[in-house]
Amino acid sequence: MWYQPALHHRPVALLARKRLNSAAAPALPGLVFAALLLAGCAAPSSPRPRPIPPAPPSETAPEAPPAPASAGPGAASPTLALLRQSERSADGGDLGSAIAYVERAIRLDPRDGALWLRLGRLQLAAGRPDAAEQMAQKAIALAADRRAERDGWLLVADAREARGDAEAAAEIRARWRTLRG
Amino acid sequence: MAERRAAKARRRKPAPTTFGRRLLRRTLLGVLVLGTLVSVAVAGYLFHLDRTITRTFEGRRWSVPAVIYAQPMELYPGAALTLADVTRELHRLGYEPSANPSAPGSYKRTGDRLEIHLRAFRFMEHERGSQRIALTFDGGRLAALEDGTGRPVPLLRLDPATLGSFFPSHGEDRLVLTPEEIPPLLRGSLKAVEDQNFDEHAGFDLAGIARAMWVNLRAGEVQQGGSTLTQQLVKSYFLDNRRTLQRKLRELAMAVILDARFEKQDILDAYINEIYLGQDGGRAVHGFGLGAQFYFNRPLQELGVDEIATLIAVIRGPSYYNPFRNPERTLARRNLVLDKMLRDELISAEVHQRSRAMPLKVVRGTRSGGAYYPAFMDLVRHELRALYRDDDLTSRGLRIFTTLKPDAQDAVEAALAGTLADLEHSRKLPAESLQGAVVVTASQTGEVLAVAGGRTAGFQGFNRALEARRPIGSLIKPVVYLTALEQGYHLASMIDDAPVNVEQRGRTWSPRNFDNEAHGPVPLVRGLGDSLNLATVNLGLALGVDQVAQRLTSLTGMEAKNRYPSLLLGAEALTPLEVSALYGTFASGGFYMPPKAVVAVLDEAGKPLSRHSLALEQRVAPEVVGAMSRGLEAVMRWGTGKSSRFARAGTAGKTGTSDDYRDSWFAGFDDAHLSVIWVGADDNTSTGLTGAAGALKVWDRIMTHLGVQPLHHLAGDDLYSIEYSSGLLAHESCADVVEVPLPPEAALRSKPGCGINLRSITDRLRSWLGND
Repeated sequence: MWYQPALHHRPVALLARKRLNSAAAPALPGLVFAALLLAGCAAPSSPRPRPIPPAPPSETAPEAPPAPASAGPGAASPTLALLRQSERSADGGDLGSAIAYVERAIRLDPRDGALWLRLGRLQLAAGRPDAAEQMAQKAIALAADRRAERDGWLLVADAREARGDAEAAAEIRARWRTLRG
Repeated sequence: MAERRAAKARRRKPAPTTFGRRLLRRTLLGVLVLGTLVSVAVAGYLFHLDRTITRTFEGRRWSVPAVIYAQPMELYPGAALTLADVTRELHRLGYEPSANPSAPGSYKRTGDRLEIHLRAFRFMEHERGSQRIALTFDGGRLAALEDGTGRPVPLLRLDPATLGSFFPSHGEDRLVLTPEEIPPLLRGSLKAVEDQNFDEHAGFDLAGIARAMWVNLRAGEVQQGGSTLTQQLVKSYFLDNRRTLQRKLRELAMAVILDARFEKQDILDAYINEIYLGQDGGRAVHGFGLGAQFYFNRPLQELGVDEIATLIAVIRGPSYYNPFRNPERTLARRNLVLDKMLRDELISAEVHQRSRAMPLKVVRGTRSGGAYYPAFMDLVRHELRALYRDDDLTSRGLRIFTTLKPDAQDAVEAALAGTLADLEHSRKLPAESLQGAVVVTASQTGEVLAVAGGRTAGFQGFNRALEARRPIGSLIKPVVYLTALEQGYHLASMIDDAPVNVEQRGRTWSPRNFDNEAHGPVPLVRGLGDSLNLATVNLGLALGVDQVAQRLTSLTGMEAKNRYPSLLLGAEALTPLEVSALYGTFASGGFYMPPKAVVAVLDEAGKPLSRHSLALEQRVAPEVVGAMSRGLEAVMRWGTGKSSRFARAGTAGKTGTSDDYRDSWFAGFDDAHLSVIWVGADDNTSTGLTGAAGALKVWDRIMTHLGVQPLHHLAGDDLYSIEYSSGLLAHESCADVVEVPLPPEAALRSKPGCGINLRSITDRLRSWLGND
């Protein structure tokens, strides 16, 4: 369940070096000036621009979009707002954030199997079928009805298929197709 | 030789004129050579200094310890939060009450309404700008949440509390400020107070030295330093504290080089991030960013003129001008700083007057030493050890988001300290003789919400929650009963609570019950509920000790070190954290979740380096764990946990006591929280406390604060009422009954004269029909 951390050394200059020009030099005592000239020869002498710190992803929008006035009372539920955010992140290709939003929803309502199902779907999309299958099992354990149970099993099937077990996947799908009818 | 001597003799008597000319020439040559050599040596030395300085200042970044954040408080309509809960959290975050919350970091309370001006915060998923919100409370919950324009908002979080930082062993801690985060007043005032010619001088300041000497001579004491800000920076950054002439010259040369190489403002900003501002236990507070947090518990940008002046006052001698220990002295110097601000027209006369009238306003955190939550921080460090080097944690400015809930942590610490003191008092035990440890997790996710490693909150020491491995006693029994349930037993199966002798390691082991009696045939649920040793050993022997040991391993990944029958009664040592992993499987409906503390680690720029997603694995079948949960509820309702104030509130748990009352354990859960508590003595002596008399009392107090959320049972169980003591089908009107799920083939007798529960029959009928 761990993402591999990418620790790149990314030095950020503490101070940007001042352009060393003759105008600044006369103010210095002679020896220091000589030393600086020497140093200037040895050290990279080209002035470096001040590094621009990478801008953090910025959103001025509210954390969760306000519910449309026409929607029912359920539309304003905090977990639903988080699911919407999650979908938006996933659509934008940011699966990490999409997962983080659903996990936040799970913290608010860990008994909602649909949230675990969604988390499993995202784990599968992120290439972690084992995790996805466990999330599906959790969703099944919490399923309020047959339909939710079926959705869980269909995720299990997809996860098995992603792991290369097409046979098991087909068997599960067949079972739930017949039971649905 | 002789020839040479002759030649020398010849040279000794040249004509006077040529001699004088030669001497002059030679001296000149000598001086030139010497001069050149000295110049080259000095130039070489300066060259070396220059390289050192540019490399250090340019190539390297600040060594910034990782900052650890707690779980932020989630605000949404319907949340079980009171106005007091939110206000307490705001106070923790350093928000100030204000008549008009027009600035970030302030709030206003009017009746049931709370207006908050949130600070900007960079969360893991996005940056939340500073904004105004309004909360309305109704009874015990948050009724409405609106943005600044009065529009309803479904969800918002407060900024998370800062738990501390991983400062390195030499103790330097800081929060680096970007140039934009530094108030211009701070820059101006630093110059006014410490270095009036900063903008003009070349790194050192002869006029400044002269002035300082004059002032000091007149005052008869050191009132002013002659060092420029640049020199102070060099001193702090590169040099040690010895006062030698050589060091002084080196400092001077470096300051000159620094001044030549870098922009004035960059030097000043470096100073602001570098300078030492005080000591907090083992950590040294560096820079104004952390200084503001340390002395005022608020970001620098929110500080008033008087508070900025206090920080500047401290620079001159953080121990001499310690605002906590020497408030009057510090106040006097702060006022001096304010005077200089006025003198340089940095503030108006009116602001000057108002600021001078202010008290010091410093706030000392109740916790000190920088590791405010040492037990939890240990856990975080432990969890990150596999992924990050120590150096990454102490120097790279990482931001670590964690699962700790500060209010739960406070409750746990208070409950542990309070209960232990009460126990010592009521049982006439020596004061401070008891110790304890607590781990509280969210039962469905395994996220650690609170940890106490000992009874003294905030004390960095032996972390019993993670390191104290103690015999778990009866806490092991659910593993025995789980193995039984998986091998065809059910909660009404009869087992024999009869004396047993076992050969173990060449000796005869004869376990006894707590009450020294044998109770004969009892239902499984009572064996577990009353924690009957004989029944459990007989059951375990029938199952096979190896089977039980293997089940412990398949359940938790832990290998039982003890493979003898005494394992069945918990002669196996685990840490509270390991017990939490074991019971997490029961509390979550069969899913194993390693207790986790970290949500994500971000680099300085906000990019996630690692995300620590929820992880779980189904290790117990739903129907088995359902029965297990009923059994653990019976423990609370009828068994060894019945003295709990929450015994009948929909909770489940298990007590544990090791030999001679050395260890008092309790593991308990409701629908939201799993707690594991150990109470004992560090020297492993007997405390006389059973699990119920010690650890369970701590749990009661924790749950009083957290509030019980009754267990939620998964649908699908076919339940029957049986009498707890006999296992016979019975009606609750005439027996102590417990509702247990039973397999359809289970054949039970009814208690004579006590009609069986009607519901059981209909349920059973329904299940027959349903199964066809």
